[in-house]
Amino acid sequence: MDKLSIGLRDSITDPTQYFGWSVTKMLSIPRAEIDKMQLDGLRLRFNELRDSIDVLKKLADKQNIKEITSVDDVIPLLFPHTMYKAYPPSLLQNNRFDQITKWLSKLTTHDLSGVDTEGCAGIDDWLDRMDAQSPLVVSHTSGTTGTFSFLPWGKDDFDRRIKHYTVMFFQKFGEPRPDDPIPNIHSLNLNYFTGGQMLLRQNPLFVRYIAGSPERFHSAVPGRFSSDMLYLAGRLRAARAKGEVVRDINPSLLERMRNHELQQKHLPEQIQEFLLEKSKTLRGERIWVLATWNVLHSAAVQALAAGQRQVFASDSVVLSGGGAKGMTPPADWQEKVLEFIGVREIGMSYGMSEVAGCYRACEKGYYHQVPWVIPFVLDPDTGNPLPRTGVQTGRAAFFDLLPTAHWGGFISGDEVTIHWDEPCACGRTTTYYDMNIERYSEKRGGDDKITCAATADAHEEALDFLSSI
Amino acid sequence: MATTFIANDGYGMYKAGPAGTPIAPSVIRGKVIADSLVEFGGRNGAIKFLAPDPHKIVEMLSVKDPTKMADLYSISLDEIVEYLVALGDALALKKNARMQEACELSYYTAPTTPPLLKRQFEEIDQVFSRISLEETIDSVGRAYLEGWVERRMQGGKVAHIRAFGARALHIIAGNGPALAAVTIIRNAITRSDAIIKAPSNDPFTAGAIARTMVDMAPDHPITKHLAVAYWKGGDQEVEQQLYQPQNVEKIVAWGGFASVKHVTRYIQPGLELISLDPKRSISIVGPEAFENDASLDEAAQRVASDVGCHNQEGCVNARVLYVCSGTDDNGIARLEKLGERVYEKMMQLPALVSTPPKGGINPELKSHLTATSVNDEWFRVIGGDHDEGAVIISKLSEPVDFAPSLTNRVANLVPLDEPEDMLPRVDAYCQTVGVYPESLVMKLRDKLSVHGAQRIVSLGYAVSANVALPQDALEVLRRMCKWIVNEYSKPDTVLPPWLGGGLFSSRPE
Repeated sequence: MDKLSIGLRDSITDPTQYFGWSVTKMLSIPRAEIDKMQLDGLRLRFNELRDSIDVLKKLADKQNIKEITSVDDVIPLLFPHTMYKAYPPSLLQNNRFDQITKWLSKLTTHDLSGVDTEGCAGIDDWLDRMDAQSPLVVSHTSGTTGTFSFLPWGKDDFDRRIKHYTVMFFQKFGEPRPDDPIPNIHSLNLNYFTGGQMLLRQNPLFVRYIAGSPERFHSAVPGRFSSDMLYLAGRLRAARAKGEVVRDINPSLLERMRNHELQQKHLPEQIQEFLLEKSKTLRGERIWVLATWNVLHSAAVQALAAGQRQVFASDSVVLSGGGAKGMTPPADWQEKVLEFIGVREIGMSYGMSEVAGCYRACEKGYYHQVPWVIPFVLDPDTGNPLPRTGVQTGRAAFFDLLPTAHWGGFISGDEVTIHWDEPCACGRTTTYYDMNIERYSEKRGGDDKITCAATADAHEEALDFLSSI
Repeated sequence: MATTFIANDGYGMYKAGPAGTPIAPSVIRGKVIADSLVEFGGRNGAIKFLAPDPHKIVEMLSVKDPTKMADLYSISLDEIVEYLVALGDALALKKNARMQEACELSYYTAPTTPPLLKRQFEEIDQVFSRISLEETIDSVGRAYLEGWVERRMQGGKVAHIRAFGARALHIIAGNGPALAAVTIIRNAITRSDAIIKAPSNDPFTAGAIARTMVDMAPDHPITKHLAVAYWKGGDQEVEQQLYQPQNVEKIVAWGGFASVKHVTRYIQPGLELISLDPKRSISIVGPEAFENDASLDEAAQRVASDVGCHNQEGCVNARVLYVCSGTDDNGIARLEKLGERVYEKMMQLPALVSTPPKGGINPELKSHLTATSVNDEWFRVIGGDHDEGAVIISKLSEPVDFAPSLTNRVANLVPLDEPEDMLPRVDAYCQTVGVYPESLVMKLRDKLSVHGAQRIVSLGYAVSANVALPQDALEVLRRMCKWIVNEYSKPDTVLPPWLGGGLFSSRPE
């Protein structure tokens, strides 16, 4: 292997290491180099993975795609989100984890045949076995549609992914990196510590790469969020919305469900108590917190009501991003959070479980891409690529070059506006998005397009309606 | 046999909207109103159109004073039928410029395609035929509509019952032009008063019919008891004022949460909701389909019809079809053969009833098809690469997870061992069940009904409707009426309460 391709491989597989743990280095390589790195990286991944990932091979064979000469060539092979949940739902309902594991293996290069799923009691049990017996750290979605999507990140790939958050969250662009890139900072996790969802899977790695030690990672609920409970809750809710009856649930599971729902009801209180306690024990300390706006806002409102203001060190780091689905933030939410915590700004970022890219908002108000993720903007109806020039608005898609064991091509459900050509005044050299990103599913058809056919829209609306009462 | 399909351009010329911004006038009790126009639509694929500012006309919409219903009782049912027959004649597409305009505009607004729409506009006059109207009247009971019908009760009481009209608001669906016509007919026959709220996916048809009524007979009671207007569903300024018992006694709401959620907060004593919910429909194909090639062909034709006719845009259309092919390897092979034949037949349906879907297969469904097609252990997808429609074969005995999203001529065939195996999948969302062969109907219809199904039809005839029959397990016309009873009791036949007679009348000793 020549020096060039070793360099290329490192730049995409372990970019944090390659860029010397420096955000400045990461986001200031000349655009022409980025373009070359991306095309060469894409060709490398395609050549290695095309025939090693079963569903990819089928897709590529079906469309007779044998090589990549430009980045747009990969578009027909980008995976829609449906790829990660295209298994018969009865398999999950009936604990057929042998079949689920087999299905998952078709999405990764790793061999999962050695995993013992005999007698697997549920999703929690299965995730434990996968953690212990496979090279994967499997994560799943929130299950609100009634079933889970599963992502098959390899442990190594996942580790290399999370590393870059350290650099993104805690360094200021333009400045050299600190001697020790690990901030060793008190981390306030306003959630459970572990669980199957991606944001919980990250926590143990945040301990390693951000808090530096378990004692400095503080979770509102130190335990595990049960995936079985989340799944069941989603199933019941979705069935209710469809007017269906779920008949086959174990009574002991239903009992656990009742307790779980009770605990969920008290979660905001629990978070409040946790913050109250930490406001005492960590007063004046530098802390870090990452949460969606609604969690931060409700915490701030309650804390301020209890007289807690400017609690922590002013060089603390507060991060947020992404919409809490369907809710609109009040105009002054940031103010309240800043007042409670004692910092001067909230860092915003955009990202998704499927892609190893944390896109921080820059000083000029744009989300910047990372060089190892190739951005695409597609026509939302046809899926065809919009030009890679100028300013384009359409469906965001990506090729994540970082993963070595699963396919990094992904089509999102988000509408973005990308700036291809004009260099951002902030000095970062990567392409960037406007910050007003919306999901296509929330831009549904006109309010009173009425049809008597019960399509998915009707059920989406039913779900929203039920969740609002 | 090789199948050639028409490459689908999605009727692209109708995506952008017509030149200029069309106007949907309000038609209120004999008056056409086309001023104080405000722009609506223009988002998410809906075309822009102008309509009178609903806040300015809301006052005029209801016939507030119930005594104003009296003029409907000065005309006989025969005269009502004559009016409707004349209206049907006047609506003939060939000679009615307003309907021609509505038809053209529907090419832009409707979810179906121009060949289907033109055909449906052309045949709207059929629901106005005398024989069809009489059949509809019979479903209520002519005698009840025309006068008081006597019933002698046990216990001595004599009752007279009459069906009176009600003041109603109709929130109608926009997936077919005939719905506006059916609503107007039902309103006339029951001597009711209707305010029709047009949907954004068909803002023009109801208005075009109403304007024809004004052209034809501006002072006729039937014309005067109809108002057609557009406002955005959920517009509280309009709805809070209008949806009150003094204005409206019944609300007939088609479609699901989009219309009903705006309405439910207003339901109170004196305001009744008749909800025609969104429905799914399915089909069952018995093992007889696999007897020989002729039976396979027939079954496939009928399946294709229930899926493809009306471009699968109706609540009656089948989306999931349960097939008694057997669930072992041989069974799946049989099912796949049927699926291939269904696909062929669907592509060959006449353009009057089925075409490639407008706008192709929607992106979300397409992404499901992609993911499904590469998981060939459990699924096979036939077609779908040219936005023409598709047939999904489930190899396990369960529908695909995204079955509620099936549309745009995409159907899911599911294998069964026995017909009864699908009964747990039937629920109250399940409206139409197409069954093949006929012998299976008798075996299943009671069980299907107990599980929630509402309309059992011969496979292939899902889209063949009759408005005089129960709809969604309701007798809509009878629900639209107010059934008034006049009870005669005489002390020598009914023991009087003041002499100790009980709640339930009994004869004196």
